[in-house]
Amino acid sequence: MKRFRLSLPRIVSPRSLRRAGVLGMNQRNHAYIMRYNRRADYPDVDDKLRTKQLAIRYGVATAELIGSIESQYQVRSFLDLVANAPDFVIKPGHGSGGRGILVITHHDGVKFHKPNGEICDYDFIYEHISNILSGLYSLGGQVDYALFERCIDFSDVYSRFSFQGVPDVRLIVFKGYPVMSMIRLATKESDGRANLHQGAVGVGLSIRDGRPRFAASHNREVTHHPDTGAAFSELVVPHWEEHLELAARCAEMTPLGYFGADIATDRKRGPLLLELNARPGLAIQIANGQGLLSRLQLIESLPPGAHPTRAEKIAFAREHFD
Amino acid sequence: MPESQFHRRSLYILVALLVVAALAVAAVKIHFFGFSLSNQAEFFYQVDCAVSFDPEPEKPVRISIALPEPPDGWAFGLDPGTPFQIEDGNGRRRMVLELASPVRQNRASCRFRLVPAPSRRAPLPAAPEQDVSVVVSDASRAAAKAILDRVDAEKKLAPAELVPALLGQLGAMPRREKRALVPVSAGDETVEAAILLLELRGIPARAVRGILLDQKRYLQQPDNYLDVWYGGAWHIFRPGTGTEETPREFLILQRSDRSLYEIAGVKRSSIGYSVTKVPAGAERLNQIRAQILEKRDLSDFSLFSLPASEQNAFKRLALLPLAILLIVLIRNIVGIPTMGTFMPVLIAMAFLEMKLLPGLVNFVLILTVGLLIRAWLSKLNLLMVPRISAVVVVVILLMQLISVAANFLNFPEFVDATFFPIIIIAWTIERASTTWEEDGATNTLKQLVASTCAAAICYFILSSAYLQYVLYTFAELNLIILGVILLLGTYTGYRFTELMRFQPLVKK
Repeated sequence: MKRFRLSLPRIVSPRSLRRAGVLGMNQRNHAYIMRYNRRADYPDVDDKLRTKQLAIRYGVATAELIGSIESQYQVRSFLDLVANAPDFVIKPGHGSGGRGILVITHHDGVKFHKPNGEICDYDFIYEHISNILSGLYSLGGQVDYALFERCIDFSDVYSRFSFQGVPDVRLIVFKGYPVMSMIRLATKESDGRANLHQGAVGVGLSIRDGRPRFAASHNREVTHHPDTGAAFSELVVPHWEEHLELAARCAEMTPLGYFGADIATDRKRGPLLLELNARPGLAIQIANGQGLLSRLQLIESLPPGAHPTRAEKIAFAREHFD
Repeated sequence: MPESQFHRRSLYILVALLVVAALAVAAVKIHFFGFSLSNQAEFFYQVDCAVSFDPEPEKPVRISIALPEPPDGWAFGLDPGTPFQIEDGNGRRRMVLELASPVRQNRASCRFRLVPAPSRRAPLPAAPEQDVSVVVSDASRAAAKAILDRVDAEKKLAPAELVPALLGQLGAMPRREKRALVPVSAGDETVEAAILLLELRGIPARAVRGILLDQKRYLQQPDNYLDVWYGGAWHIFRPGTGTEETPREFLILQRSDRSLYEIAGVKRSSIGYSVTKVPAGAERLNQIRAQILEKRDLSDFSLFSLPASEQNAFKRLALLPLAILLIVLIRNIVGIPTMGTFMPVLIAMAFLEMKLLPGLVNFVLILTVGLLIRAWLSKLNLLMVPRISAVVVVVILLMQLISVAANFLNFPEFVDATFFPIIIIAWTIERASTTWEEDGATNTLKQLVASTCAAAICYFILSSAYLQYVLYTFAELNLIILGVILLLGTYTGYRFTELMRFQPLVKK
């Protein structure tokens, strides 16, 4: 049962927010997204197939591509596509915010098992693909395609910290520097999904070493996972340097200057890029208990070409963004 | 960044231009077309000047009536339906009607209007020529001097006191004595005598005929008044009582140097004036005023020149920019997410047509039933476009059903469900239903309640009759709204809801 705590919302002054270096939505849109992300480059992140192709070209590790379905007449034959894949994920090619993603952990061609243990049938998946094609999950309702990927074999390191679901690390990358990070952990309330506004927990990670710094759910600090009871302070993100490397590499495959990179860790392959987001949300500040603006402004104050290589950018970020 | 500074500066210049342009056009409308900033229902005077006559057989009739001189702040204009024309003869403008023979009527009516035009100043009255040599017989002069000595022997009284005193004196005198003072004049004895007396004192005076506008009388004869020049202006006195009339209510129909009306080709004739006070909304007054002030061609650029049905459509649209500004405020300054960007505005516009409470009940009813049907539709595994189309059809049927049921149950205020934007409602239902599936009921209801509250707030602002009047009459003020919206486009400060959302980030 969800408990509602009745309390008057506390309001702080804009000045104190500014002093805390908090980035607001209007400023994010105007001073960062509009200034550093050209409209023409959005397909790099909004079109998942294109992101994947770019990732392969630039040596960014991603989940294995199974195929895609573009037309309604192909939907019936989706079984052929996944016949040789023991598990698969269906994503809308132009989806956002994790909408329309269907994960099947194993199947026998008749019964399809979802991560939460539910079993669905051919018709359910057929309808889901049809919905994707008709644009239900795409930005602006445009006609879309369905992307089939292999499941990521999630490493067990997070299992204590997540109620089902797929924990992923979000890194905000600004002008090639990883500036802020968090890991999103699903809860019962979020229905196994890693969306913060649905009740998932965001744990802020230090850019320096990937150690947890703070954790918040529904805008409030939390110290333990509400369902598993694990203390977030014990959370360890393996392969942290590879996370940073992956995120910084993403900045080379697209001209976008300000984006979020979602990274999941595969048991065998290590960190993989899930997707990029040209309009990363602001909740990462709450998960970190810190404002993003001061970090962005530090990067903006650097002279051009201050850190020409990826390694130098990462080193600078690790030095300054704890 | 210099580039962004450049953008910002050009934006400010653009906004300043918009504001200046809007204010300039509004000022022109107020000052030259006489548009009113107030939407108070006002009135104008409609004056019927009826001439009755016996036409002589086989002769054309020509009637010419002196052009009235409206008081300060009033504008004169012929009623568009009247047969009379304004003619310029010898520099004197008169209202003229010519009837070709044979004339079968024995009555002609000239209708004109006096419309309040606050910016309309009557031309400054010309001072009378000072060297009026009074031609008067010695007997008259002696009698006049006697009267003057009786009233003001020491010549101390100022004209404002002298005139009432003189008129009082004359009023008490028998008619014969007054006639003796001015034996040759045909006008009103008291007025003519007073003119003579005042001229002997060197105070210019003249007779005028006119009517008081605020007295409702039928076929009124113009009364005689005394017009006296002092202090740089003409003052009108009523001869019977000696009181000065306020010029605002006094319509001068004739001055002593011209005829009230002339008529040719008839045996007998008489004239009478009827004044009607016609109540009129500010919009109609603006229209009449613009016509009267002979700025018709220019004012035809305003929305008032459109046919009535188009005007009504634009009246509703006139408020839309303001409503959209509200949405910008609600979303970007307050930070309340609404379901669909402009959905609350369109719902609020629908509320305007139906009143708030019936509108809200209707809206919630349609939304609830629509969501239930949409939930059922989702079980049928339909593709998205056919599914939304089905929702649209269902919404239309629901509206019809509500209207018919309300009509049957005699709830007239619920009959107008048709004003809801059908497509918007269908999309709201579709979006609410997918949000419900993905983000849960709490989030969906939160967003729906926020959207409905936003619609209600929009409704309260938009339902102001004054705002509607001003934004319709002065459509150019929407340029200012445009400017504000452009400025808000560069607002990068925190949203109000962020002051709560990011409150944990402020270290104590």
